[in-house]
Amino acid sequence: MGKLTLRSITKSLGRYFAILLIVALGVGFFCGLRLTKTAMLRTLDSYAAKLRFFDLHLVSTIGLSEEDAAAAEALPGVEAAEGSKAGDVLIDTEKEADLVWHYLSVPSRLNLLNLRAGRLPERPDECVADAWNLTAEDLGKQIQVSEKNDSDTLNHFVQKEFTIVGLVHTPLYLNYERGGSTIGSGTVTAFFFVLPEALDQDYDTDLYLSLVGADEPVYSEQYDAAVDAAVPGLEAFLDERIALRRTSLRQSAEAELADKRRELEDGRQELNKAKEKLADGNETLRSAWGELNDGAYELGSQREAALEELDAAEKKLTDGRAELDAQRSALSRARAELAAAEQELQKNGAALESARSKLEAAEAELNAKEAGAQAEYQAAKKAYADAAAALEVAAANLASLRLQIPPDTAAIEAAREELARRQAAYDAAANALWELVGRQALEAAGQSAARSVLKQNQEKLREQEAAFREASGLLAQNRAALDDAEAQLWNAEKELAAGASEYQEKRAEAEQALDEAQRELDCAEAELQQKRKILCSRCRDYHFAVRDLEDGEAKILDAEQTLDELDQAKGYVLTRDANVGYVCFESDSNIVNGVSHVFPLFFFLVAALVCISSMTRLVEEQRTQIGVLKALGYGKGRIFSQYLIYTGSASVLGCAFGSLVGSYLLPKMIWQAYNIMYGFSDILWAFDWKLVLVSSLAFIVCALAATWYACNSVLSRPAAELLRVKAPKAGRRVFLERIPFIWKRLPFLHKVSVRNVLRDRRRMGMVILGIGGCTALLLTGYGIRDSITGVLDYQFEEITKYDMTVSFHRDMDEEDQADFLNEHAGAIGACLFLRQASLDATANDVTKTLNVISAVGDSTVGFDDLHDTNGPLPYPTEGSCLINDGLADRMSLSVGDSITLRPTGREEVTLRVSGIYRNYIYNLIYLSKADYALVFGNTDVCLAQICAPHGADQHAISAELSADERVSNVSVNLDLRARFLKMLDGMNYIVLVVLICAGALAFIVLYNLTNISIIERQREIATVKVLGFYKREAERYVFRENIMLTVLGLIVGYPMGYLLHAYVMEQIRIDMITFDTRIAPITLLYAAGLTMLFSVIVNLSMRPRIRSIHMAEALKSGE
Amino acid sequence: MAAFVEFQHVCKTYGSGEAQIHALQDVSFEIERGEICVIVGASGAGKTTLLNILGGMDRLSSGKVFLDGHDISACNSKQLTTYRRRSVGFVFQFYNLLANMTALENVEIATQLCRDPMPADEVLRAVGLGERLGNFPSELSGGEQQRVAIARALAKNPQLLLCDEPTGALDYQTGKQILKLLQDQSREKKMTVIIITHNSALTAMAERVIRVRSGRVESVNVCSNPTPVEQIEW
Repeated sequence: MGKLTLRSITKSLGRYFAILLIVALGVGFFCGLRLTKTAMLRTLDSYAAKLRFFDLHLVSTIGLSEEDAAAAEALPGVEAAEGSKAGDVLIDTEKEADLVWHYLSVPSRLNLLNLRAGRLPERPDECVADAWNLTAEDLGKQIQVSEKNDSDTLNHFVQKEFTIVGLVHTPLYLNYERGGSTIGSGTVTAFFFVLPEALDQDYDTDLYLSLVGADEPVYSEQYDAAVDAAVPGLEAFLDERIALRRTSLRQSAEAELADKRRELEDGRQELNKAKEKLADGNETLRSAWGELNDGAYELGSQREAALEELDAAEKKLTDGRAELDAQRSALSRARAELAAAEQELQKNGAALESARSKLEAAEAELNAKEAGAQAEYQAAKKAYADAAAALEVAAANLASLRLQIPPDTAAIEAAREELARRQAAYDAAANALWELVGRQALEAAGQSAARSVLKQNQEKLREQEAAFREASGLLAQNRAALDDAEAQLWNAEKELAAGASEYQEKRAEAEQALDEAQRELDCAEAELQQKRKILCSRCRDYHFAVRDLEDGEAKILDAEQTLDELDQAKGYVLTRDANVGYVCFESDSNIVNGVSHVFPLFFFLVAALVCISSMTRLVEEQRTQIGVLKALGYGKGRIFSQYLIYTGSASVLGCAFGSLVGSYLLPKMIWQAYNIMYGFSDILWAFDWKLVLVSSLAFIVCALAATWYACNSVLSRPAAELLRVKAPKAGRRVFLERIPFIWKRLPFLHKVSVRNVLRDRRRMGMVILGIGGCTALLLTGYGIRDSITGVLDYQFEEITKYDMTVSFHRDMDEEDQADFLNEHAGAIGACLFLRQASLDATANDVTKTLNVISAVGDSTVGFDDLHDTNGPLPYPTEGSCLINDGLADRMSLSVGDSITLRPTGREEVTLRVSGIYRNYIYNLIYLSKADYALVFGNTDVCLAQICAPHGADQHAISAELSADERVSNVSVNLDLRARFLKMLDGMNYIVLVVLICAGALAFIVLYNLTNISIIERQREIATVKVLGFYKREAERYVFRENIMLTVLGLIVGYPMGYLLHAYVMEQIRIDMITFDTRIAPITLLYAAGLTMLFSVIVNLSMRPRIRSIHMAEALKSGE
Repeated sequence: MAAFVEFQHVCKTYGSGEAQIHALQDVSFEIERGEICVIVGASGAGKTTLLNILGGMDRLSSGKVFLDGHDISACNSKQLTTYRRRSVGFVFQFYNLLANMTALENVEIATQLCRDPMPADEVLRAVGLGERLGNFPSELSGGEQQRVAIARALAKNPQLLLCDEPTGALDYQTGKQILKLLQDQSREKKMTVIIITHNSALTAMAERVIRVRSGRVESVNVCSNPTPVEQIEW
């Protein structure tokens, strides 16, 4: 028998592993998720034990004296006690100013520090800070106690500057939550620990105790019981200590009061004196004013006179200048005339010159003529004389010749002829001489006439020259006169200029003198003003003093009241349940636990189904074997045991494997996801034998029961029937065939597939459950992400319309607000001033620390769009408030319910919830202005929401606003959104877990069922192959059914997914963020796509199985 | 003219080495068109291997097989599928009807596959199941189921009808009816029918009888005058 079992295992290893895996998955998930809570609690437990987390926390409204710790430790049941000094302080870091930090004294006995980086402080000027909010980069940096702290807080610090030397976690702050504060922005940013020496605080604020015997696990009932048992005794102790402290406080307070009274009396006397002085001052001031006015009047008249004089002088100057100008123009005219005369004269001179030269030429001509005539005469006379001489010669010659015997007739003839010729020449010369003399006589007459004319002309010329010279002389005279006149004019001008400059000087002098006088007067006035101001301020001081005095009186009254209140001083004994981190941790671990209820159920069902189908198949396959065994005489029990061992061993192995892997892996993964909120330690490995055993047992029993169910019907049959061939399963018509409209349109093979799908109900159920489950898980996984990212989108697109929040480090009254707006008019598109603070609120027995907010204008339109699903909500009026949906959900509030606010040190206020608005990030209660004033005593604002101008660079605006000295912090919503997105990244782990889970589920179910289906239908597949189906056709014949089943599974999976998603979202709540439970349309596609993908992958992996079916199978007998 | 079906020295060996089993050894025979051929032999004689090879469901180790002149032994698996789809009709011992289809649909699934089918309902009427078209196999008797199976084979108008022990799971009377049907159809349509059986009595109805033993053809008898099925007794 054992061999048979072993063989059936090795022969169907796939099926065996399917059972093993599904059981492993189920057990793994169940144990893993369940153990996650255990592991988380154990982690916290060990953390609390290691760091000696307090059991009880004592506080009182009047603080605790430093001796209280020792006194408490002496109490029975108290193991250790330590006092602690703590408070909130405004801190300037290197990056930001006026952050609210929570300071604590370094503990030495309880709530020890868990050093994450650096070292613990050794000197009073060193501190260790919040490892949550600071990084290793901050080590070595300085933080400063801001000067803007009130004097009490400042006085508490011996050191004002600290160097961060280490980063720590403290059990007092388990998660990111740092709580609210009454100072600054109202929210604590971080904590830091300093040595007690750095603090000058003579009392403790907190007293932490650890109890003997309270070492039970955290959150356990035993622990709570142990702690609760100690509470009454400690309450009595606390009352006693408070009484002591009260007495000592009262003594000192009374002494102080007496001092104050004395001071007050002194003050009053001084004040009276001051009053008298003030009256004197007033008188003096009044007379000074009179003098000042006189002076001013005198100065006025002086100024007038001086101005008059000056004007006269100026007029004179102007006249002189006009005259001078006239003279100058006359002068220039004269000069022009002179120039014309000169020009004419020159012309005349030239004419004279030419006349003279003409005359001289004429005279020269005349003289030349006379000389010519003389010469001509002389020449003619000489020619005549010559001719006469020649004649005489010739006559002599003739005479000689005649005398000559012989007479030479020829020579006489020649001499005669010669004589004749000479005679003729002589005659001609004589004639010429005569002619010449006559002509010359004639000419001489003409010449003498010309000479007389010449003389006349010369005479005239001389006259003219004389006149010219005379005119020249006159002209020179005129010019000299003109030059004189001009020189005179120059002098006059120079004089005028001198006069003008003198005038200017004088005027300047006069004005200066006047101005000086004015200045003096002004000075006097300013002085007087100053005096008046001083007097006013004195007056004010006086009034202040009066008010101070009144205040002092009031204070004394207050002090008296305080003294009375001392009698009402109260102490509180707080358990760990008052620690936010501790409480949140429990609820968060519960979330995991909540999730652990759903998923395993799923796997449980699937495991059962897988077992049933596998075993049914196995038994069917071994029908004959069973028959033979039966026929051989084996009892039913023994045969049964074979199959029980089969599933039993598979599920035992699966359980072992699953519980080990699941217990290890899942807590780790989930812790990783939660690390965004709790980063204090690595998770401890928890293993719970009982849980593993119980869940394993459940799975094993489930598997065995499924096996029994599957086998029983076969095993109960008689051996003979088992040995016979099993009749094939009857075919059946399906309901779809009754709808011919659809049925007729289906392709032939699809009809067959539809029938096949619907025939095997068990298979259908399993696939639908498996695929539906896969789809549901995918929807849930992606839906979680949708719900989270959707929140951010919705928040920052539909609700939060403003761009940045500005916190002021001091309260701003209306004037400050207007100033602020004016100064940043360019950077601010729109601005809404708000007041915000944290306080405790109770509703329906749930108490939470909540943020309340109130808008200055009683409207937040355009900033925070307050609306619910029906549209915008009106701003609350007095006595009512608006709360957001997440808060309403958590405190079980609906419209019309009341919520009680408990401001510290004031009366509680109960308000009616007038509306529930949608808001996802942070929980805020909107109050009316009046209620806010009632709760906090004033209406000054500390916050502003700013809309940047359209298209402006928000970070530039943020920088500008940050530089304003009133502004302590600017947070830009874009950054906030990015930060949240990053923080929510951790959720992706959970999504991933879910996705892997879904994939595993789909694969296991589909693979298993397809496998079985193929084995079951081997003969059918072989037959269609023989009939001539091609490979692909045969594959499609099988896989078409898978696809149909997958689609069916999808259809069922969608609603399942919606339900599961809603449930899971319900479980994984985070206080700060309200999730918008929704599934995006694209997620539906993703889920369907992935599911189909899984299905297709399974189909593909099954292809070889179908191909390997041999057609000869068709010839075999039905089993 | 060559024979319609021709086996030439066909060998089929399973396994390898020492464990070799020779299912068929040098098998050669011929079958003429339109004949009813009975292949008879004891269990393990190699009948089924013969049928597998003839039906294109299995490959042979050596030799050649021709159908209407086509070399089947040279076909690849896709061609074989096409061959099964178009040319061969199968009748199985255990009917192999698809349980989830009505009689009509079981025939239709075959007619979907080939080129020139006969109308499914007509074929069913022809095999005498005109009244049971809409019944599922589980609602039919063995004989009726086998008739559906025959109708499924005939509807394809195959060249060759292969019947593997068609009466093996039927009682005597019903078996006879089925054989009659096969004989009638063969005559009517001039269809080649090959019946594989261990029952020698059936040889009487055949025009050709091939006896196989231990993977070899023992004898091939041709009988030109087969006995009508009604007259055969066993």
